[in-house]
Amino acid sequence: MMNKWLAAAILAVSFLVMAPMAHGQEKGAVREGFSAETLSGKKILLFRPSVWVGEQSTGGLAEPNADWTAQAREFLNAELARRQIEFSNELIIEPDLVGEDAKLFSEHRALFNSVASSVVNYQFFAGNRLPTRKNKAFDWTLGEGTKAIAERTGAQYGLFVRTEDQYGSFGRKMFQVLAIGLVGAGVSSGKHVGYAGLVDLHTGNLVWLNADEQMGGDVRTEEGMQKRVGQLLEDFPGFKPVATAAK
Amino acid sequence: MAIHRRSVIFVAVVLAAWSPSASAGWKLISAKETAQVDGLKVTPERDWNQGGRPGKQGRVWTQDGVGLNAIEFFSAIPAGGSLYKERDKKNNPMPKFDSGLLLPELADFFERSFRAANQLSDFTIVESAPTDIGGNKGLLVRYRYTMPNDELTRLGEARLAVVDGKLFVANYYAPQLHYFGAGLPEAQAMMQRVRF
Repeated sequence: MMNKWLAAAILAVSFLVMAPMAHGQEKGAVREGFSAETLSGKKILLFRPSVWVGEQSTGGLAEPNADWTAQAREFLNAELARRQIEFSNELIIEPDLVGEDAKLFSEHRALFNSVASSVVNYQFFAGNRLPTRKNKAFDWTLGEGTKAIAERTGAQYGLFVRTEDQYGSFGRKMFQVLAIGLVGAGVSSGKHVGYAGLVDLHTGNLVWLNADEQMGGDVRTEEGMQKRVGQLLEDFPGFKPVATAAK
Repeated sequence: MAIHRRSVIFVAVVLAAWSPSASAGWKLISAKETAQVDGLKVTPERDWNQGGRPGKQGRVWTQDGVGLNAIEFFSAIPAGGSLYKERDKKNNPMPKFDSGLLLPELADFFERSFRAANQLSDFTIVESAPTDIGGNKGLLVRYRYTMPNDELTRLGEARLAVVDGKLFVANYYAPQLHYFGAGLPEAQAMMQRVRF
């Protein structure tokens, strides 16, 4: 009888244990023909970062935490402001807008998140790569709707930043221990996703992406956020050469 | 022993409820070749990727990932069958198809099914009108929605027909920005040319 239950558990685990591996890849990519020289003298618009922080329940569901999110947003904005000096380009901040203008920016931020997620899940992750993306160039776009943003701001490029952090709850951590102890399954606790991407606002094309679905740095602390931003902007092509050398 | 067994069951149940987002097994659907998708014959203009089953009698195709564009084909759903897999049977059960539904009533069936499958609270039917699908009388449903915790407006266009008491559906959806319009002409052509 016991063997039956154990077999059922092992079957469930063997089917599902591969899932965390799908999110364990750090990868970056640059669009063909784009380089740091292409950026020279061009204004970069820093879109308002998308920040989400919460807890992961025992069953793996995400539960938002408004205080953590507000604090992480504050730390992220401060860290990005502090690092502006390292950019070789003029960096402008997303303007405060209302109505349809605000929607134009917020929807493009959301579209960037969807595009970056697709890049990670359907091109970067070899185990789930789409056949039409196999051995193909890095060719992703937000579409020409970004032109309207270039016209409103005077920026040719847009820098998007997204972080999503789910910290494992006590129940999730206990579950993790139980899963390892009872059936030897490697269940993940917590989720720490970060994307940073540069888009040519004249074409909508994604020209640089740094995406990691297992990022480091506790975004609820200032030091942790410094580490996170460091990872997000690793290999960013718009840094001054001296800053790159100092890293 | 009993405690140990309960722990094992607990682990198995929670793991089983934990749905993995990585679903490998994509298959290339070549351009200009007729593909047999269950009970339907579909001829795409470009290469597509065929993925898993959103429902027992359904298949999904995508170009750039299902978050950016997707077309689903459902074949011969019998009376009592559902369009999509159950997501939350207790709180949001998947509607069952009734072969006695009139054409206009299919819009409501589709809306309830799509809402339940995607756990949507924001979904609006923009237009519902008679149409042709694979030479059969059908219903065209154009709709708009947003996913939970996402500001991106998404649009969709579905065609539904009942043939010999069974339901056939083709459903295209994508973000409103760029992707929906970019893929719509081919999606419409595939839906119109589909053969049963």
